[in-house]
Amino acid sequence: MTLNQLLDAAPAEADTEALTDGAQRLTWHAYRDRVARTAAVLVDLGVAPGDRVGVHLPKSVDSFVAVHAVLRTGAAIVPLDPMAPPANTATVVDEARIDVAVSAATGDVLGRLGSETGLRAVLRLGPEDAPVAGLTTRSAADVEASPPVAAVPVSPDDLAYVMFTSGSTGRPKGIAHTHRSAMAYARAAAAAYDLSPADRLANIAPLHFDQSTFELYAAPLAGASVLVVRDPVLRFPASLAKLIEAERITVWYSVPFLADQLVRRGGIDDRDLSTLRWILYGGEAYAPSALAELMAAIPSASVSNVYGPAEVNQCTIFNLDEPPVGDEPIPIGGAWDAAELLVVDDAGDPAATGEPGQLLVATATMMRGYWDRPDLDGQAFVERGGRRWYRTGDLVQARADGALVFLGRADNQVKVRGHRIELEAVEQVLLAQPGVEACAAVVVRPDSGEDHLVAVVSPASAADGVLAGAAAALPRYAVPQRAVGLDHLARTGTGKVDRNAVARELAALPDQG
Amino acid sequence: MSSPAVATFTDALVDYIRTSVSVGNPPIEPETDLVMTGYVDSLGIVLVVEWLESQLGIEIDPGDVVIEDFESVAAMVAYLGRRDDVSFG
Repeated sequence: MTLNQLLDAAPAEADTEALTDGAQRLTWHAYRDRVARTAAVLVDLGVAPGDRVGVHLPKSVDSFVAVHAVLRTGAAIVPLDPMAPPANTATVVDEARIDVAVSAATGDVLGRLGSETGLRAVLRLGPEDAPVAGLTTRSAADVEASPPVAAVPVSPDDLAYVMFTSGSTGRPKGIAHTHRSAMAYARAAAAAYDLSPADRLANIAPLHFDQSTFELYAAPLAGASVLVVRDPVLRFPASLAKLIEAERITVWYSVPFLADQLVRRGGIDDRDLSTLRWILYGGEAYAPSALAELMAAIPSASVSNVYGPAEVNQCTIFNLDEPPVGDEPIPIGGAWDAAELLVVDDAGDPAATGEPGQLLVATATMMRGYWDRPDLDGQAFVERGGRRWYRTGDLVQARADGALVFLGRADNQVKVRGHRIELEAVEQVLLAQPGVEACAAVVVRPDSGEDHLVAVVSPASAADGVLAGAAAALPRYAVPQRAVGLDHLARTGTGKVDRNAVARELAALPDQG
Repeated sequence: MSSPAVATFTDALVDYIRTSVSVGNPPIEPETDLVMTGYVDSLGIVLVVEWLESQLGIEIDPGDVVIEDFESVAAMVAYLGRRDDVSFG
């Protein structure tokens, strides 16, 4: 099966609810119909198999419909962050050679994209839908008026989506997945979490964040329905808690921050959240004490720590049925069914238990490669034993019981006073200290004097005592020299702590230098 | 509750959000949707709740901070007006 057959084949009753964002509700029948009509408009705009189509929409029923409509035409999706500055969007549109998009952006933004990039046509699904000079446009009315079209057959090795990450060095990197790799992920995820038509998944992650592939593809494969949580609601933990209760959400998947906000600011004592049976988190580490609070507050849910770079989607799994005890970092666990893992040392030999090494993955969920970047593919893949392995660039270490512990990005390994330090490993220890809800380990490079490591923790009140606690758990060279408390840490658009932004904030504090 | 006192409080809340919460002094009216416009982010909501608590001498239960009651200044004032422990004057 390919992704563009998922909706038609979904094992759910046609008149039951498939998709909602609170504002709109679609049954499976209505979902398929809307997707097939939207696909007709795209075909009318010239979209053909092999094209890349930009999906430039805030999270909504429309964004899910647009993704499946693009797939139905045989083209591939390129999610475009609707919150990104137009210049960044233009870079991705150029890089992916997108000429048609579905967008809710303003006429000004689209006009600019039309004049600065190869974009030539847009299906406008936002509050504005008037024609834009220089572009062919269609609107929701055209979707209504178009006859549904059937899915264009594709090969499993055809491109399904390209997810761009903002590389640290200007040119964005597009992670290109095929129908084969995306379906392998959907199958493995639906099986790992035992998804069924009785489930309702909350979609928290934006389309340009790989967590969203869980709700986009694994849900329809299993016939599970999806609640798309609109972005404004994410700023109101109490509204999120209310939604989980009202919509009877069974599976939640987010970064730790948003799950933690539910516990701290969601007023969940007064809510019945007992429909939740799985809480998946990924993207960064969960503080063990905070995770214990979450599990105590929502005892119906098992927790799954999901690890995997977007290049492979997911490759390890670590499930907890009971709250963690103690301060040990939560492991990323072991390979899930679809993956094989190898931990290698600097020489490329298998690392011994307890020795840090780089994680390699061989899996059917692996990307085809980077979009138009054979240079990057050469660094990302390695052939071993006749198989192709993806070098994650992540350092891990096996515990005595075999479970892998994530140590950090190999390229976040910094040298402070001659010692190699993994910033994430320091952060995991900081997270385990009493009162710490979020943190960043930051290297400060003063104009004169030595580099030093600073622990930035929130809330500000947690800074006292953090270094003493860290000193008990880290080698001496890895203990931060200073701790700074800030009530709020900068976060990326996807909710992870933004270490670089925190470092800039730190540099701007009056007493730094 | 007297309506001049409500109007004065509403103005003060608009002024606080415009000058101390939002970036770039945006055009905020009591009915402006602060969330969809992005004038107030999640940290901003925490700041507004803290300001309301200190100005009015009340505690706001985290479970009360839902989007429909905090998406605009008018919505916040209506929520506060429904509480029997709030006096604007």
